[in-house]
Amino acid sequence: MGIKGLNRLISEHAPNAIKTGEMKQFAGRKVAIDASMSLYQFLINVRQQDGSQLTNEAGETTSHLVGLFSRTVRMVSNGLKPLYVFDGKPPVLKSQELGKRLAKRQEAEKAAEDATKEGKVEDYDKFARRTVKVTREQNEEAKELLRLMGIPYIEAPCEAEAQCAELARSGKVYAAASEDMDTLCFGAPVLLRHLTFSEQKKVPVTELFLDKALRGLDMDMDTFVDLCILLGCDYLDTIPGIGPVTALKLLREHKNLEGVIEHLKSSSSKSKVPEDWPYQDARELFRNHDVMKGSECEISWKKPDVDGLIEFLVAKRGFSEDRVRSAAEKLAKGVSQGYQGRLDGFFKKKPVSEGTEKRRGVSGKNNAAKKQKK
Amino acid sequence: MLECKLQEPKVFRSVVEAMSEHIKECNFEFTREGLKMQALDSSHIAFTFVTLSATWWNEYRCDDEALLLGVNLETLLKILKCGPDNSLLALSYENDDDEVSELKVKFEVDRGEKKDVAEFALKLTHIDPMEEEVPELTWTNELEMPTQELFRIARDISLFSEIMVLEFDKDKLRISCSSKESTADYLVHPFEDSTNASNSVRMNIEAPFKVSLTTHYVLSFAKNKNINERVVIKMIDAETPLMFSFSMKEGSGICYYIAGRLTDD
Repeated sequence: MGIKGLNRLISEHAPNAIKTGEMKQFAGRKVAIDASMSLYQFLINVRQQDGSQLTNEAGETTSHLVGLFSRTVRMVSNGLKPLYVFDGKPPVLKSQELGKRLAKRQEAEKAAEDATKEGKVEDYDKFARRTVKVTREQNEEAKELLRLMGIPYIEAPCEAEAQCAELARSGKVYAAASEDMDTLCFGAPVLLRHLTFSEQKKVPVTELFLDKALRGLDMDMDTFVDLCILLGCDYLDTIPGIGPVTALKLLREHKNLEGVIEHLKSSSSKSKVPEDWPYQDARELFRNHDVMKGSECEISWKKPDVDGLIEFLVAKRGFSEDRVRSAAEKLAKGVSQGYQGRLDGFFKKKPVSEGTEKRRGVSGKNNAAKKQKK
Repeated sequence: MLECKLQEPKVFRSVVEAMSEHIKECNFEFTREGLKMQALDSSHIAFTFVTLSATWWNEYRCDDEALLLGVNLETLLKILKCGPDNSLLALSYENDDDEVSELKVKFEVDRGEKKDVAEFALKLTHIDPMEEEVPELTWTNELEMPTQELFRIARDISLFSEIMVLEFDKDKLRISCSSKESTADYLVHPFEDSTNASNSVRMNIEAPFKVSLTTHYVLSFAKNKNINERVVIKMIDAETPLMFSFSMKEGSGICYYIAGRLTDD
């Protein structure tokens, strides 16, 4: 999932493109969250002590709803305006990757079964997490829950990350939130990671800035997309023997994938480009993904339907009524009190003063720009 | 080389204390004209801007055109709290190419012929300088009142609600809040105190408007009665940030820009 090694490359070459902070510093920000990815993570991580998923009395899984509910309420309490985006049809090119994931799941299912038979609880836990898939029903339940909470969601025509990126690019929201680094390839100017993590984990929210990453890597967006394809994305296999360091070096030397491929074919390199390697298609998917235009997306945050939530969560799924009521109050407050404005648009760019580099007490040792000059 | 001295370390401490309410670390920008410090809080809701002009200090010398020192405010405040009120505060910095660069903070107390000294060194950090600056604005509305009065109201409101609503009218200011359990409503009118001018409330509101602010920010600004017992609030409308300023002698002072809350999308 995502782009292999991209995070490492960015933190090495463009450390200032990555910032960590608390959730509350995004107060007043609208964010588009990759719902499909989040639900998947809730199913994996929201579990009981023994590693089994949370369920209601009838034994139906509720991990995804517990996660979605509590994490969303946390965001709203911190002044954020979350918007969820669900996956549409997967692109044809992804079928290979999806096939692989299915095979892995089946393998894990079998392993989990074996572990149960042999009574190895730890192994069972490990494999059971790998069998996770978000079902159609679970997706529908999540949408129903969001509706009752008054939180908007959008169904993307294709990949959710791409739609999140479009919403951020068009200024409809501040950032796209996903754990998937390919959201950057889809052109999200700002990517938030770890936004939907549990509070107890105490993992700070990571903010990634595309423009700073491009500057640090010293490349334009087209080259960046090519880099991501070379690193390994969801749509294509990687070329054997090419890791992050080589990928970056090759692209810097040969400008684009065409150049890299030609170089690999002509040189005595051991890395062979797979025969069926439709990089143009992958490139096209990243550059012109099928999305709904940001300007055409109707988004509004509404008051929660408290009775509906009680019926849906308490009566049907055994949530604590007190918890649901107090959470609903927080959601209502988030809507009625408006949202905190920010100073971001207020300032104007300082005119660049010529040649008067200021003396500094401490030079920026981690400064990427400086590193390159060396 | 940089050296600045101040007879009243308390005032400098108050400034740093006020800043540290919103900011963890900040670039101290020394020029021949004086010291400037500015930073946004991490939520980008409030911007703090401080000027301490060269003449504000009892002695001031900065040989560099501009010197940028990244300071951790919490640490600096800790140091400043160690300085006795009757001491002379001296900040100094020597530029050399040493790996570790430090801001020296010294407190001197006269003991007849000799001086007792307490000296601290603060390790500097690298902070990216702000690439933006505050635009020039034509403020259409202005209000001036005792800092203590604003503090009292903001503190009271903070007991009831995280959000306070300010309605500026030609001849009155209404400050209110509401929560599930209660509402609170304050009316402040222009008023001239002929015996003690510092109690006066002055308003010059050309375009009345209403704005909601996050209470704890206003409360923290209003703690600045040590800086100035009068606060000046300048505004335009609900969409433009409001400015709260506390001036000091010699064109120095501390001012804040704060973004209001917005309602519609």
